Amino acid sequence: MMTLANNPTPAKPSARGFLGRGPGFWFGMTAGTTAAIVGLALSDAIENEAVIFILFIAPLFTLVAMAVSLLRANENGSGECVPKGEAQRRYIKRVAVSTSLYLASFAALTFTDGTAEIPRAARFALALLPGLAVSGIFWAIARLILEETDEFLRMLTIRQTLIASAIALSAASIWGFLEAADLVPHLDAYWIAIAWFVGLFIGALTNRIEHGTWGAA
Amino acid sequence: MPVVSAALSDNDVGKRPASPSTRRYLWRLAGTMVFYLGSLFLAEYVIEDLLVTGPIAAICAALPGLAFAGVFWIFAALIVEEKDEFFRLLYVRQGLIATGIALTAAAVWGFLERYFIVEHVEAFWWPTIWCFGLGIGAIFNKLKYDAFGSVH
Repeated sequence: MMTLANNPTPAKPSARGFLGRGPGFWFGMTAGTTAAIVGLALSDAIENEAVIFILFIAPLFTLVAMAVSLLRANENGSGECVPKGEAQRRYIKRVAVSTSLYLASFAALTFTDGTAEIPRAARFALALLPGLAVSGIFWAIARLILEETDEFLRMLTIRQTLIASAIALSAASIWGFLEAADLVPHLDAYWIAIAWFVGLFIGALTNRIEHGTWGAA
Repeated sequence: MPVVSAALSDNDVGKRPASPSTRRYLWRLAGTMVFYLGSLFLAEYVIEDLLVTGPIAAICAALPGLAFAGVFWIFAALIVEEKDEFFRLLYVRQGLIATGIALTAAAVWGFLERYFIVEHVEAFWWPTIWCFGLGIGAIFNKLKYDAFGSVH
C-alpha cells in the first residue's frame, strides 16, 4: 500500500498482482496461515502467547500482499472499484499510518498491562493512544471527502459514512437500554467504532447495489 | 404538539419558511419523542416495579432504544426528502460532524475503560453525544455558510 502511495504513476498494464501472484492466491495464503496458527494454538501445540503473536506476522504480511495485488488489479482497470485518484492515494496512506499507530500502541498497552509499577498517569496516556489512532481513520475519511474532486465519488463516500453512522448509533441506542435493564452485558465503548466500520462495509454494499460501484473508502 | 406548532410558525432558521420536509421531520421527531417517553415509563414500571424478567422485559427495554434509533431514520429521511440542495448539504455536514465527535469520543473512552482508567458508561450516551454533535455541526454551518441547518 505504501509503495503505491509513494509512486503516483499508474502501474504498467503488464504489472500484475504482488510478486507475480493475484489477490486470490494471497487470500488463500492468508486463510491458510491463519488457520494453521489458530489450529496450533487451539491444540495447545504452542502455548507461549508471544510466539503466537510473532507467528501472526505471516498472515498479516499476506494480507498486505493481497491488498497490494487488489489495488494493482484495480489500477489496471480490471477491478470492481474506481481507479485511485490523488485523494484516495493520500487516504490509503493515512489509513495505513493510523492502523500502524493503532497496532503499535495496542501492542504496547497489551504488553504493559498487568505490570503494576506503571503510574496511573502513564497508563492513562498509553490507553489514550489507540483510541486516538482509530480517530485518525475518521479524520482520514473526512479528508477524503474534502479532498476528493470527483463529486460522484464524494457522494458515495458520504452515503457510506451516513449509513455506517445510522447502523452504529442505532445499535448503541438499543444496546444502551438493554444494558441499563441488566439484560445484556456492558460492552466497551470502542465496539461502537467497530460497529461503524462494519456499517462502512454495508454502506459500500448499498452503493454497489444502488450505484453499481463499491465507492472509494 | 404546541412546541412543534411554535417551531413551525417562527421557523426563520436559514431565513426561509419551513419546507414540507422540515415539517415532516418535526412531526416525526415529536411522535418519536412521545413514543420514547411512553416506552421509557413502561420499561421503568414493568422492569423496576413489577420485577418482570425474560422476553417481556427484553421487549420493554428494547422499545425506548428503538425509539431513540428512530431519530437516525428521521434524520436520514430529512436528508433524502429535502429538495433544496443547499439545506441538504447543511444537514449532511451536521450529521458527519456529529458522527466524527461521537465516534471519536467512543473510541477514546472505550480503550480507557478497557484498562479500568475510567468508568463504564451506558451505550445510549454515544447517540446522545451524537445529538449534541448535531448542534456543534449547526454552529460550524453557521460559521461557514451563515445558516445553521437543522436545529431541532
